[in-house]
Amino acid sequence: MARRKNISKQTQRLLMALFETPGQWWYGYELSKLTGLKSGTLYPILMRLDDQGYLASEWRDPDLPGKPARHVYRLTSEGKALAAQIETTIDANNIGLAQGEVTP
Amino acid sequence: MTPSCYRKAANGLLRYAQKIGHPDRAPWIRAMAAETRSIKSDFGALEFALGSFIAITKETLRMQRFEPVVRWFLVCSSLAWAAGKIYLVVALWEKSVATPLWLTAILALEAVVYAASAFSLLTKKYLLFCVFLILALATNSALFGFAQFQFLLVDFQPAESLTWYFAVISEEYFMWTAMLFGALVILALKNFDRAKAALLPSMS
Repeated sequence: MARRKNISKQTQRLLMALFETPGQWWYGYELSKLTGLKSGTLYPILMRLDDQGYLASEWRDPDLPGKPARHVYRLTSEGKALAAQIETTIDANNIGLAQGEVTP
Repeated sequence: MTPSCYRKAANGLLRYAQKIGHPDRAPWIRAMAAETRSIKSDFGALEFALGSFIAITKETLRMQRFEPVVRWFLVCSSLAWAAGKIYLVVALWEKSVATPLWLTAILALEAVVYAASAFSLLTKKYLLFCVFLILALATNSALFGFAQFQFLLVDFQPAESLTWYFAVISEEYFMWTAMLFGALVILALKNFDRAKAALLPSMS
């Protein structure tokens, strides 16, 4: 059996949020509002996911002149696969809880 | 419209983050700054900037964890050696042990060299630290050589503490090697990217 990755709840929340809107690019502040994660928690996760190849990021020109370019993010195919795997695990856990499994 | 104090504080925090942040994370700091500027609420911008600042600080510490550990180990080692030399000089002086002046002078010089090497490490001047270590090696070699010469020709009888000192002097050579190696490792790590870019441009 493959060893389960140790992924924090915050990372799972972010991955799930991005997984629900595949292909859509998100700004950092939007992600913060979407997931409820503060920037101090969100950015280390984004950096880590980006380093590991689960996240794609690029600079997007501003809508208004005089504003700086902004970074946008979305899941890569590897990121989507990881998110799908996590979703399956969460679903399995939820089913287990619903059926009255006792966890230590 | 003038920016509020919250907005100024947010901008100041992110400017400071740019200064202290790890160079590899520079684009991320720019991204955080851009996001902060896009937030309409001044207090919200400060809150976001504060979180970003904490994230960058943590990230920088995580990425540089190797260097401070080795550096502080070397600083403590250098200071311990300096303290040992000073202790020996003072002990010899207080006990009025018949010690040649040159021996006391070299011991004192070694204490200064070790203290200087610790200071050079604190200010992150690794090349200077290597120079001080080589200087310490030279003074200790001179001390060892002169002492041997003195024992053989003048029948100099060292005090107990000095006998102990000459016994551990060879241990000190191992210590130097370890310290020099540590400093060289730090230098190599700090310049790894630059060296790689120069030597292997296609890979960087």
